Amino acid sequence: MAGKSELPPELLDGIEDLEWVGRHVARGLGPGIHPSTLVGFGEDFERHRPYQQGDDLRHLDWRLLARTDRLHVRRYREAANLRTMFVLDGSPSMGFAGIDVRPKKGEGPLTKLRFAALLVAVLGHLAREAGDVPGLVVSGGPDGSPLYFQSARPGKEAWHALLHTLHGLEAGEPSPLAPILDRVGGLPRGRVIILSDFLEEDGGEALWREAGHLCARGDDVTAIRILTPDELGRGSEADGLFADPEYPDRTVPGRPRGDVGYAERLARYYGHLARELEERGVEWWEATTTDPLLPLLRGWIRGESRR
Amino acid sequence: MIEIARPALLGAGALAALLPLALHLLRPQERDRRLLPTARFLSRETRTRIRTHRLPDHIPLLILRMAFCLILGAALSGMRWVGPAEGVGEILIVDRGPGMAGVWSEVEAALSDMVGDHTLAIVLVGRDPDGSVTSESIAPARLPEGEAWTALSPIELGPGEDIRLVDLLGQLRLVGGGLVGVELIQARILTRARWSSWHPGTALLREEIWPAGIGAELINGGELLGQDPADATGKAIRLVAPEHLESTFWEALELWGYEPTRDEGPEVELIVGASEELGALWLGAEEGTGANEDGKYLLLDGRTIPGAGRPFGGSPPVNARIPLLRSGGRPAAAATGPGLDEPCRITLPVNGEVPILGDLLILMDALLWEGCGVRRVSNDQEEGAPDLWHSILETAQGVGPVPAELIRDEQAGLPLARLLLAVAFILALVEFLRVRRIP
Repeated sequence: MAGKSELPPELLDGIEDLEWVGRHVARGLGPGIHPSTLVGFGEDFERHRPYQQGDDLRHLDWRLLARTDRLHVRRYREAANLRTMFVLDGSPSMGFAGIDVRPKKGEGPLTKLRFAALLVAVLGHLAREAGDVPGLVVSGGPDGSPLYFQSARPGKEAWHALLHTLHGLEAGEPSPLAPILDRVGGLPRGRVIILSDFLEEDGGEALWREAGHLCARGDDVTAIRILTPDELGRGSEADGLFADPEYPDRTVPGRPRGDVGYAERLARYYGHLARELEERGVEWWEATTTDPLLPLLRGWIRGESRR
Repeated sequence: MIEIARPALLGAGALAALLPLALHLLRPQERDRRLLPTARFLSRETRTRIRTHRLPDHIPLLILRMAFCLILGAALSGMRWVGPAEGVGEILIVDRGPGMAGVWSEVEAALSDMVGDHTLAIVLVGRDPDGSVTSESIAPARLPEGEAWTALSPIELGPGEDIRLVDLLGQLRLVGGGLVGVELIQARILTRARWSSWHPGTALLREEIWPAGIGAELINGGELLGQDPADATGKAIRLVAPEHLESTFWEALELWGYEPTRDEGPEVELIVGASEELGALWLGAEEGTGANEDGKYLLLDGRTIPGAGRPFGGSPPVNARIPLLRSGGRPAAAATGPGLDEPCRITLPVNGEVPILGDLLILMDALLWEGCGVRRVSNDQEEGAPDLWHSILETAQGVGPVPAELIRDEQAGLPLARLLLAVAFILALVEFLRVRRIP
């Protein structure tokens, strides 16, 4: 996973026809495919404005003049590119691959973090194809600081550095996502993709507030929740003592699969979190580490399926 | 068939195998712990049920550890494979020492009748030219069919002293310990009953050497010594000696057929020992160590026997008879009496060691008969000896077999210790590798 050429060819073929268009208007760095906050004389008609002295007569709406006998010029919305900031949760829980999951020969287990890194690589590729500029911030550093930070920079070199980081990414220390989003809020506006299991100690309250701030200032925020089948209670039949990787001393006897109460509490937690985020304008996507990547991406980007 | 030399260690291994089981049962929580980031959502009801659901964790590891303890115990217990074992086999121990001279034809005749299908081994015990005891074991299969024992004739008899009964017993144990393939082993010893082949400790060693009745096939005849029954009748001996010497002497006296408590009053009082408390030693001023004394006893008839210990100084009473001298000429024993109502008192000062072979009997003969002036006669029968031989070799239940496993050597059969140790090592290695794989 060091560059475009190293992404699986079948994956590249599968996403070739996809265009990942932002939902909001953007103040771009250059020409792109997204609606721009800059209104001018592009291709998409935006509105009429009364003619002012100095306006180019080429944009005068002659038909409207004929009907109303008033001078108006046509204004168009310019297409722009976006800064796409991927916010990756690097806390220990993201290093989970499943109960009793053993690495296959020659490769490590597919943890949530690896799955998220793969998503970042593919979405980042789509973003670059659209002329966007990807950046990456990974939580899990000491004292809530980022484990890794790369601002959205154009160019191949920056993209390769990002892929290189994704390739060797390991989970860090327990850390909430809210401070990371707060830091992203200090960056120029753009698209923010949060990839996490969203297992926040406070139930996600700080998270949805910070995400709401981002949306309020005009960022296009998407939260992608990643879980394993075991966490969803659809995996291993194993029972025994379980511990949160972020709190290994807190052991709980249980059996996730078939535990109705567990499934209900899990659904309630994520339902509440998704609702709070969506109310603030955050788009909520869900993925499981066993999901096939292509259908998942198509469903998301074409808006056919979010969960 | 598997035999175990040290079953206690096998039991210890089995007990040790329970230790990992107990540890696995007592500490399931740490070993059962699995990671699950959403553990906080697990149900309380399930927790309660599973908490009481204690099963040994890591079953393969537990099995490995228990098997390791068991197999290690088995390896240390001296386990060995001795093959299938059934039936009763017999060992024949044949005295081929100098004492068998003149009766060998009788031996051959007896053996022809004794050797059969059940005979596992025939052991000929003789002496080398240098006088040491040797043995030759012959499997019956080596005997030409139909000719049986006579095919081995003539057999040259070795030089030197007679083969002692205790040597024959020792060879029996040696051969019996190496035999495999039979469940029970019985033994027969073919020899002559002569005092010269007696060892005073034989009775004590007998049960230790062979814990079952042994057939005594005794060939009689030849020139033997004995005592005059007329003179012996009515004699009684009172022995005054330290405890460790007394038992040896009493055994020697019993061999002679004495019954010391038969009469009310002692007529011979034998005082043996160097202790002053015995009260009958001639205690001189200084301890004498003659330069030419080499530790031998010199009998009055000129025979010598090995002596023991240092000589004592001083002189015996003036009127004492000296039935025994040391090789340097110093008195080695003194006898006084008998007077009127007075026993014959013989004093033999020794410092803790006395000859204990057949020479002891010669020594006692010289002391008791010559020292007290009793006539010693020759006899061509060694009275009492055959009966003693029988009583020593056969138990109260008679002749019978002994379970082979009771006498089998630890080296007999195929030892399994190394194989079991190798298996235990492999188990330990596998356990080590499995433990490393546990997250």
